Amino acid sequence: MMAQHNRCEDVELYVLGGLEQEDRLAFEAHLASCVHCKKEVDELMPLLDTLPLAVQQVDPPEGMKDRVMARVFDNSKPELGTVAKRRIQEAEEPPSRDGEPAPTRFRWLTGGLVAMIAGLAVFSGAMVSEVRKMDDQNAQLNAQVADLKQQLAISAPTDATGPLQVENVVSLDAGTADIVARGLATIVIDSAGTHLIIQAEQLPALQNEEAFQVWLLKDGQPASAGTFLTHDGTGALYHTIAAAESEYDTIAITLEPDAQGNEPRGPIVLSAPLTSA
Amino acid sequence: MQDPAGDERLMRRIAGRDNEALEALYDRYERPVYSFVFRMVKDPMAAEEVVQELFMRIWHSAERVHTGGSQGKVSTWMFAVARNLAIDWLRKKGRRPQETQEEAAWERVADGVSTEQAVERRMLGEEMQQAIGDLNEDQQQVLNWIYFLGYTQQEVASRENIPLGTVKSRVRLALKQLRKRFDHGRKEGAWQ
Repeated sequence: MMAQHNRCEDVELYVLGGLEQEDRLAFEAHLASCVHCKKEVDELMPLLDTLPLAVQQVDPPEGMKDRVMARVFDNSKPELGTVAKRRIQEAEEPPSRDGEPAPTRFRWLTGGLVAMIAGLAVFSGAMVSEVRKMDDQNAQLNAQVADLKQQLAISAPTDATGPLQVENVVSLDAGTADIVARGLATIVIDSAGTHLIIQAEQLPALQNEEAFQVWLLKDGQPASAGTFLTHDGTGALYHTIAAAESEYDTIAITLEPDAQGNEPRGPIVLSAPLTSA
Repeated sequence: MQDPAGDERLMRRIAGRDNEALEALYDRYERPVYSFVFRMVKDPMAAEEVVQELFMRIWHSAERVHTGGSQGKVSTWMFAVARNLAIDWLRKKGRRPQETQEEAAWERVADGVSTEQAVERRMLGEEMQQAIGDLNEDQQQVLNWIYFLGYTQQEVASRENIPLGTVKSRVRLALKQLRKRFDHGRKEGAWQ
C-alpha cells in the first residue's frame, strides 16, 4: 500500500536502516513531501549519533592508522591492500614447530631422506612462491575493485547527497482499462543531480524473462530509464537523470519481453505527462 | 560528536585535499568507528577494511557531504556509511557474525583514552547503553538485529517468525523510549 499514513509508520525503521531497498526508496519519495516525517527524521537522527557508542570499545589493530592513511593518500598505484599485505607477511614467517628443537627431530634421518626433504622443500618453496604471486594478484584486483568502488562512490554517493528537494510528483495512470496498476513518479533534486523515483503497485504478474521498463519521452522519442522486477505486483526504480536529458515531457512504464530492450516493444502499463512543478 | 562544528571544518579542509585534516578526523574517530564496525563484523581484518573504505570515501567525497537538517552531523554520516559498508561485507560473505548474548552485546569496557572528547563520548555511550538496557527484551532484540546485525524488517520477521507489524511496533516503541530519554539530555545541552 502506498497510502501516506502507512509510509509514515516506517519512519523509525527508515532511520534505523531496517527497510528493504524498495521500501526505503518509497519512503524517501514519501519523505520528500511529508512535513511530519521530515520532522520525525530530524528528531530521531541524533539518536544515530549516540547509538554506535553503546558498544564495547576495542583497541584498533596496531599500525592501522598508518596503513589506512597510506592507502588513502597513495591509492593511484595498485598497491597491495593492507590486510592482504599482512597475510603475506604472516605467510613469510617460519611456521612454529611446537617449540621442539629441529636438530633432535632430524638427527635420525638418512642422507636419502634428507635429499628427498630438500627436494620437497624446493618444490614447496616454488608452491609458496606461486601462492604468493596469486595472493599478490588477488590483492591487486582487490585494490582495483576498491578504486572502482571509490569512483562509484564519487559519482553516485548514496549516503551523502544532502537534503532532497522535490521537483515534481506525478501520478501514473493505467495505459488500458483492463490494467488496475497505479504508480507515482517523483523527481527530486539533490547536490548529486536530478533523480527519478518510480513506485508502482498492482502491476500485472511477470512471466519468464519479462520485466517492466521505464521510459522518459521527449516529443515521442523514448529513452530508457531502466528496468525493474516486481514482488507481489509492487515495484520501484531509482534513476539519475543526466543534466542534458532533463527536458522530458512524458514518462511511461511498459511491460517488456525481457530487460534488454533499447526501445519499447511491449504495451504501456502506466504513463503520465511530465510538466514542471 | 562533541565538536560537530570542528568536524565540519575538518570536512571542508578535507574537501580541499588537506591530508592533515583527514588525519585529524581519523584520530577523532578511529576508536569509536572501529569498535562499532568490529561489533558488527566480529573480524579484526574485516573491520579494518571497512574503516579503510570509509576513509577512502571521506577523502574522495568530502565535498559532497552535506550535513545539517535531516542529514545530521558529520559523525552521524560517518557511522551510517560505516554501517552500510559493514552490512555489505556481511552480505558478501553470506554470513552474519556470531551473535553474542544480549547481555554481552551491550557490555562495555572503559577505554584508556582520556581526551575530553573521548570522556564525553564514553559518558554518552554509557548513557545509551543504560537506556538500551532499560528497553524490554523484545525491543532490545529487534534493535540489535536491525541496527547492529544489519537485518531488515522482513529478514527479522521471517527469521524469528514474528509478524512484520510486530517488528515495526517494537522498533517504534524502542526508538520512542530512547528518544524520550535523550530529549531530556538534549534540553540540558548534553546531547549536541
